[in-house]
Amino acid sequence: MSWLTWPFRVLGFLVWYAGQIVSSSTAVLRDNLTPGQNSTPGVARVRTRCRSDLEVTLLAALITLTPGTLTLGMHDAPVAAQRRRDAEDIRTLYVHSLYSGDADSVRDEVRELEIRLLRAVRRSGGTS
Amino acid sequence: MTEILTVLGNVLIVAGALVFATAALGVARFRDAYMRVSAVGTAGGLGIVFVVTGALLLQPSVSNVVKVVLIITIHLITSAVGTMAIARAAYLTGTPLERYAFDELAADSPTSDRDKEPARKPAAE
Amino acid sequence: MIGVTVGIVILAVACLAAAFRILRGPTEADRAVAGDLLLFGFVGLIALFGVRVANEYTFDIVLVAALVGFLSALSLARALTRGKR
Repeated sequence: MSWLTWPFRVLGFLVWYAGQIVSSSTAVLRDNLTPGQNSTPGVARVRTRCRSDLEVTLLAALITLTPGTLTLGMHDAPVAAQRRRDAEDIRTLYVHSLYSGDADSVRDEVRELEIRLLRAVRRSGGTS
Repeated sequence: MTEILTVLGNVLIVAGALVFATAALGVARFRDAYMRVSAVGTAGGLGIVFVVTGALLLQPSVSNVVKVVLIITIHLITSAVGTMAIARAAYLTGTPLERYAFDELAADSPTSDRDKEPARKPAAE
Repeated sequence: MIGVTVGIVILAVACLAAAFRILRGPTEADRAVAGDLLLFGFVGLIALFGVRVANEYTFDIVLVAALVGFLSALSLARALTRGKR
């Protein structure tokens, strides 16, 4: 019966995402309006748990739409590896971030977005 | 009712214009191409959505609502994909990253591509 | 309608900043990105001008511009990589 709650999960995700956009655009604005630059740009490797191309495209587009982060590229494991392994860790994103400080905090941010996104878009719910 | 819509539309238009202003600031002030792509990706996606929604509230009609829903859906998908295509092309052609705290893509990418086509020097002013 | 006027002014300034970046460079990627921003700014300007003069075809034009803009971004990316993928 979890498809009954599906529209509400999508709506909840959109509200949370709007909040994220407001908070991260204030960070970008503050850095831009004050003299000097205190950004710590970097590119991090993020292993996603997305199962289909649609999910990983949605995740990449949402990362790009968030102020301060940008998807630079994506890497698929070879087909043989995809057959051998579980669904996880096949699709890897490379995320460029302006204000995260180090690669692990980029991974944490993307992981939170990913968990919420997957919980919202998957008709059955659940992240794994 | 119409007054409320007009005021709301004006507020949305100004908000969208401010999103564009942050992107313009970013394009003018950030250090390297990737930071600029990051700024443009946000503004292109969200600024247009705000501005067009505001414009709709100033000219409300049923057919306009249909068109605006189409515009927003198409735009949110295509602008993000286009921005990522440009970012990827920039990386493939060896645009330099400047003063980076961490870069795990350089460690992962096969060096052959970037070595064959070394980073071009910035054009002389 | 004061908001529309303010929006037009801010968008025009954003387009000017993009034009400055296209002229200045320094890399080709910078120019491509600024061209992208210029396009988005123009789509916004079309919407705002259309509302200001109360044109009924505003949103049709914006719809077409949004579709064509996607092609322009992809072509810029292809042009950057010299046609390779």
